[in-house]
Amino acid sequence: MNESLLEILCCPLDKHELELEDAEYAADDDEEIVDGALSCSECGERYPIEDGIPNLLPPDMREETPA
Amino acid sequence: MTVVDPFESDPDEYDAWFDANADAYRAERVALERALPADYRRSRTVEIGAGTGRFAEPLGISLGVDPARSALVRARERDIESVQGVAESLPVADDAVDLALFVTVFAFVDDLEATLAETRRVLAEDGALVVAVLDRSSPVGRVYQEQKDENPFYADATFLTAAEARSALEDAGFTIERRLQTVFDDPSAVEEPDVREGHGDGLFAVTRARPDR
Repeated sequence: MNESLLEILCCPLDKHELELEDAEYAADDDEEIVDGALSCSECGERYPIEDGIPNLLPPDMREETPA
Repeated sequence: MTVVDPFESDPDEYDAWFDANADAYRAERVALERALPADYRRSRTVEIGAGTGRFAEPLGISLGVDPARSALVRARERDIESVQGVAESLPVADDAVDLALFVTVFAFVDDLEATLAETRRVLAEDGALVVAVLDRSSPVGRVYQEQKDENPFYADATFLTAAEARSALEDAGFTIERRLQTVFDDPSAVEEPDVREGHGDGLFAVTRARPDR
């Protein structure tokens, strides 16, 4: 995901802003995040970013529980 | 929006429909293009239930939201920003979107009322919503309804009529601006794109709506 996407994404639960954590960027694009996490500035829920796709499903709909 | 299983397990087969029915797919794209509003910022567009990005890509939609991760991997290959999420609980900020698109997705959401409330929340005041439904009351739609249990992608679908979609939009606080339809015969038999005003005859019924002031 492009880092600019953070401006329009939010926590699916309480709609507060997300903060980027542990970001790893693409080798050829310093704005493209390939791995990391988004955490809600309000409730603290953590949403993983894997292979450039953030998983912003409500936590009870995630298939596997993140470690 | 939990009906993801066939889409999650089989994005190839889902994608194959578009190649097998290239002319119907083209007619659907033409209908959607004509329904798009005159001005919006491309960076502020989202398709909800974007799947593999088959519509988002040609229509220039920048962000795709879908619960099925394997479909989104395809969408990303089509240069669509891809986010896993559900329509009833969108991970998109208030007033952040100029154009929201739903293509045949109303048949798959768990809660259409919540979906439309969320869409209103994310749309800017002067934003627009474009919705396509497979109209159950159209001639081809009646065949789809009869045969849906035999199709892995449609067995769990709840097809609406175009009129039901319109009522749902109006009840959610939207004003209908434009109605278009296409696919008047079996999708495999469609030739030149034939897009007409109104609803009732075409399988693919497109509506543009805006939030009430």
